Amino acid sequence: MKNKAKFTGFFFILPSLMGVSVFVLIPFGDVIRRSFTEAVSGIWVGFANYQTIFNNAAFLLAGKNTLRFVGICIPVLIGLSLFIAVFLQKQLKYGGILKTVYLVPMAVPIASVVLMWKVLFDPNGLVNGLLAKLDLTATGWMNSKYAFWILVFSYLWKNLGYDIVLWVAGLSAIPDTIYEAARVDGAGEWACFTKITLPNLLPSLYTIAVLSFLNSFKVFREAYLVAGDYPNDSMYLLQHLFSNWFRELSLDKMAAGAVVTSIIIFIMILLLQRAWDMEK
Amino acid sequence: MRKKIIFIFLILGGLLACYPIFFLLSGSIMGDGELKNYLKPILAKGGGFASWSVLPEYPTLKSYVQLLLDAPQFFIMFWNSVKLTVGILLGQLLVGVLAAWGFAKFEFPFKRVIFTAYIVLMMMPFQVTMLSNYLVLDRMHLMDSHLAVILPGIFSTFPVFIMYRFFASVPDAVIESAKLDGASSVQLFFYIGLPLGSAGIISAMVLGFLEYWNLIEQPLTFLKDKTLWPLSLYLPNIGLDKAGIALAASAVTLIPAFLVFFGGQDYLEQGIVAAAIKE
Amino acid sequence: MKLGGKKILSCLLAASLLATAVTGCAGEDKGDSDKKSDKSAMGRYLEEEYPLPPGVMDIAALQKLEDGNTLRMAATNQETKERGIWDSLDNGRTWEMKSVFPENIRSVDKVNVLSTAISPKGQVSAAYGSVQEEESQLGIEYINWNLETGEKLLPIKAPQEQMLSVLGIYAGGEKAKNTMQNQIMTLQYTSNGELLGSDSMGSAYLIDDNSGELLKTFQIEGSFIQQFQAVGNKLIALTEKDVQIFDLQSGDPLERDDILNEQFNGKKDAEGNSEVAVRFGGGTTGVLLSTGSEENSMYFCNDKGIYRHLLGGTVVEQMVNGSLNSLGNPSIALISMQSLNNNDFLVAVSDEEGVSKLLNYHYSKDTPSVPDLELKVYALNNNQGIRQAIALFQKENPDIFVNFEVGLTGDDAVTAADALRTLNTNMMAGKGPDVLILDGMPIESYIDKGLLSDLTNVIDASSKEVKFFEHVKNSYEIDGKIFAIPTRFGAPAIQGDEETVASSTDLKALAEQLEKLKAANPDNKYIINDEEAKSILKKLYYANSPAWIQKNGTLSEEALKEFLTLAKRIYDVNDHTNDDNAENLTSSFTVSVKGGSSIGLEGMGNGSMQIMTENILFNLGIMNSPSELSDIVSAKKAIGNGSYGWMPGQSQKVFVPMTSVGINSKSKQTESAEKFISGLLSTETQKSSQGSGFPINQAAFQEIIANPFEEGSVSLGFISSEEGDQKQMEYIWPTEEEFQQLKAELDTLDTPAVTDEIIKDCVIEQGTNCLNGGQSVDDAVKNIMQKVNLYLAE
Repeated sequence: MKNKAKFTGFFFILPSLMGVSVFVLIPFGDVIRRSFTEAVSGIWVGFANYQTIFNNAAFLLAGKNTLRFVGICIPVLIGLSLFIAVFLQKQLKYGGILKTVYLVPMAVPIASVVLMWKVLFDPNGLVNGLLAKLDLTATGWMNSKYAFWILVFSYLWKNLGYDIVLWVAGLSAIPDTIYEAARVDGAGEWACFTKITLPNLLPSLYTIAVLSFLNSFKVFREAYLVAGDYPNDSMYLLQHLFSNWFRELSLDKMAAGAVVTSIIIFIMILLLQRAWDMEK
Repeated sequence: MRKKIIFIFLILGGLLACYPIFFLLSGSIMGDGELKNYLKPILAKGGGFASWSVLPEYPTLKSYVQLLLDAPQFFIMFWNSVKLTVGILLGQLLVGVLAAWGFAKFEFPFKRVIFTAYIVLMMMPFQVTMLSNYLVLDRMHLMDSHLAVILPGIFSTFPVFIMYRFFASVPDAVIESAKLDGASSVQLFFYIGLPLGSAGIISAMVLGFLEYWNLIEQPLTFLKDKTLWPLSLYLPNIGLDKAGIALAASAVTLIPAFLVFFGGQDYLEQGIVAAAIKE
Repeated sequence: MKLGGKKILSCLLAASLLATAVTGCAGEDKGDSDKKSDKSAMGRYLEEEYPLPPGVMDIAALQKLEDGNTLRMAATNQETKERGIWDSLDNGRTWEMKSVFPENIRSVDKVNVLSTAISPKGQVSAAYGSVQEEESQLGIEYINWNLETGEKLLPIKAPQEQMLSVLGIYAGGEKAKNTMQNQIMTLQYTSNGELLGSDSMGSAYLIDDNSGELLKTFQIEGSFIQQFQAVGNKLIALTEKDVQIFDLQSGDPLERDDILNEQFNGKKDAEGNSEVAVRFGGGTTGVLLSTGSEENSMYFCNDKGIYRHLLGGTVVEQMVNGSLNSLGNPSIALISMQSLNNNDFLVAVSDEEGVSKLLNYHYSKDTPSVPDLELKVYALNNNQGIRQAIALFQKENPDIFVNFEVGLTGDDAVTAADALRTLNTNMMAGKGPDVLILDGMPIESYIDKGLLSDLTNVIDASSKEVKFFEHVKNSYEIDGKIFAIPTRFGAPAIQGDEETVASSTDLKALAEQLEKLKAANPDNKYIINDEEAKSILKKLYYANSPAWIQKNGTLSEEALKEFLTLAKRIYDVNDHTNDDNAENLTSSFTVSVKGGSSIGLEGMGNGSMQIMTENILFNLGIMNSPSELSDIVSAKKAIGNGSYGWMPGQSQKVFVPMTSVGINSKSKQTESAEKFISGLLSTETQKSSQGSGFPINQAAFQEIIANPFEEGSVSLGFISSEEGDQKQMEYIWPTEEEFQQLKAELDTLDTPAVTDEIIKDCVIEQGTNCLNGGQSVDDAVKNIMQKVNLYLAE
């Protein structure tokens, strides 16, 4: 079938492709065009905007922070959720309930999350109150380097449940028979994990990594509503910069920054795909 | 022993995860006086620290009454949210399912390129294409109507990605045998793809619901007429000085999200299960 | 099989595409047809101001008489200081004086008339105050007269079941708690000529206008009728909660009218409380009612326009669009409306100076219902001055419709940055506003990017007619071109004893002088006028900010550190030990997000008053109107020693540009936009809207310094101190010389304050935390530098 009806599949994706072209692809093409022009006048400037942003301290800082954020969050999230998933899978009785509990943060509206942040991390907030009771010194959380870690924490809090479920799904797809066979051969728990569980989970890793990556962009709105346009240096992300550039009408710089970002994302996706294909 | 310790830690983690819900619910039934009392150190920037109690001293539904009875725009916005979310999800159902099936079970030229492009586009922050999107919608005379939010939402590539993973897990053997029985592509889609994949479709819908129920930037940019605005725009910025109403509003917003979430949770998990299984 | 399958598939695809296309088209069609109907529709009510008889400044009542031809008006002639009755036989165009008020209530100076009512039959009734010296209480008497037969007193007695204890009425300056009799306070006639009145207890009555007997009572248990108006055979009463309707004949309450309730109680804050008390007439939130021509029909008039409504119905039809004429002007107050036999509406209003005006609305079927040209004006924050200017412009240019859009209304989740992004998107798409009120916007960036048109021609043309404050005019000048111009400005100033003012030469000296004052007056809890760190910083910010900007555009860390150190010393001269700010929750959280600020609150007036009462010794503020000089000279007179000067700071001679405007260079209506800008700079517009900054136009400055008080009289104010003492304050108006000196001084101000919102918000937010002791000066400086450097690096 695959060879004979070469275009059948194409018909299936056609409505989607047309819509995506109009509402996503064309706008993105427009962004690429704008990255080579001046913002308001529309004069062609070649690669000047790219030159500008690579000499722009704010872009470099935001890029560095974003990479750092993604580089820390995603491995930690994936590792932590895998650990919990492996554990929960064996806890048949309470595992289901706990899994649900961890999923709850996904449904909490941003407004409530923001309100929580403010109450918790204000200089006169709950966390400092707790610290004061323990005779520790209070900190201005959002104005310190801790701001970055609060952001990381918020991301983990919101997405942990999602990734746990993803892992549990992958785990449940590994047939019990393989484990039984291994145990018969005298393999210990750790050996089972490294020799059977991990290799079998690798295909799930691709989906989980892409989704975790996608969700890492969504933490911005919370960060913005809590700490404003100019947060502490450590949590100043690319989206802050894009958003500020837009406000100042520096659309040329924003377009160039966006193109660079999407090239990096593209490369990362390709690498992930490559890794995944090799596993297959 | 070690397991017990881990288990206790996990329960603590679970409580941490749910803490905002307790916070929200208890705050929403607190009286103004009690709320102000707790939050005073933050609001007044004086000495001392804020405190909180999970059980209000004098529970009251005043905040809810104020919100539901005295703010008629709340209902309009609630209804707008429903319209936007349902509109987008129905559209995704129509367009996205077809596309996911197409990507998952057919080979055609440039498939790999197009699908990778879908994933990269899925990752773009909204601000980046905001202006260009605006220009397209404006050209189509869609500005300032719900369609300006719904149409681009329908063609989000995210559900295609989610559903692709799971359609791909429908075993080729099943399809081959159906084909041997003389089933057409369309029959295959309807009689094998859809039933075997319903869980995955629902999981994409649940994720979509959570996403679009909290949509902020798009309606803000594309809807000038405030009577068209969804609930998410009523919520995010209510200051701490109006914490009672903010918390009650959050709680009300949470309800549909929770209903959908718990209703669809089994499917969500199944769907994700299917998505994660190796091809 | 396969072929069939494909067909079905393509049908399915086609269907899905079609569905999208159809919905898409539906939206499009709707938009287009709307536009068309707007364009082609003809017919609009045009406003015309009818002249009042010479000397008439104050309209008390206006009534169409039952013969249908005569309009009768009760008003005051400010020249003769007498009240009188005027008639018009040409629907209000010209007036003829018929008579004066009866002898005992004729003189404006001697008697206070509380309420005047004219019956459709031509009779006049009035309630007036008569002060009986020995009882030291306010008595109200009633009089009724007919132009032909003369007057008679009406002995109306309101029920006295309860006695009222009225606070706030003082006799002879002494605090006295008086009881007051329940009395009828307002009078009104129904369209049948029956007299109605309402008392101070919240009930309304039908009154026999011969005997003064109360015939019928309208009241709602537990509700207080604040105002009422008769429409046809109904009495429409506004209580503190809602709108109640009574049948005039039976006195029974009728069914609630949702539309009216919506109109009257529509303005609520986020918590559902009525933010503003809506009144029948008076103030910007006023509503006027009038009987319509058909059964149950009525008209109501508010700042949005004049509407027709059938009582009990669900439909409201807009007759007159208030945004196209003076009704939309926020400074006018409504007095009375009559729907005339020629289908015109005649509305009596009073302007910001309290002078009455008669506005006639006549239907012109040849005028497009909405003007062809639309000029879009955009501001981040609401601006009353701009609204006034628009109403003036609208009146002079009926062919242009000015659409004023405000980005931040405060009742939704939109942040300043969100609003700016939406604005930028609109402008880049060529759909943006034509005129921008630039306060709170990235002005420099807009100029750099070429988004603002050069205004030099407009300004030069205006300069030929009037003289501007030159430095203010050139605030945003680049290479001889002006891309944005402040229409108003403020001046950071200080006020106190002569020695302290003279010795405060810079910020450091100011801090030292204030500390010296504190040392000399250790018993004073307050030395300066502000308790809150935030408002002190706001005031100090302007006079110091220009000194922080270095040549390379970055902030000077040293200057900033000096500023915060000295600001903290200034803040500390007040005793903050007992501050309990919990009640004035300033919600400092929203600052970083909301942005945009108004300057109105940071003026000098309140501080001057506190100097007068010797609560404080020194006043800091942003001087922004001539009446503040009045406060200053009054304070000087009161305490015997006083002076004022420009705020000494790290910079000197600073002014604050306010309500800056510019034209979107992508606007297709440049001509109208330029017309609008010259309108904003014109003397007529500039002289109105006081309190939101000095006018940049010097001719307007000259006009607003005219003494509003009568020659030789003094204006008195009272203030209660914390101990409950009453203090009397005498306000005097500065002399012409004092004003000319102020003007000359204002002309020397040559340094614009840094109005960049990002820098300002950041310094004030971090600084507030620092002054309150939340962080050290070093930390605050570090945080500010970090954030601002990020901003500047972008």
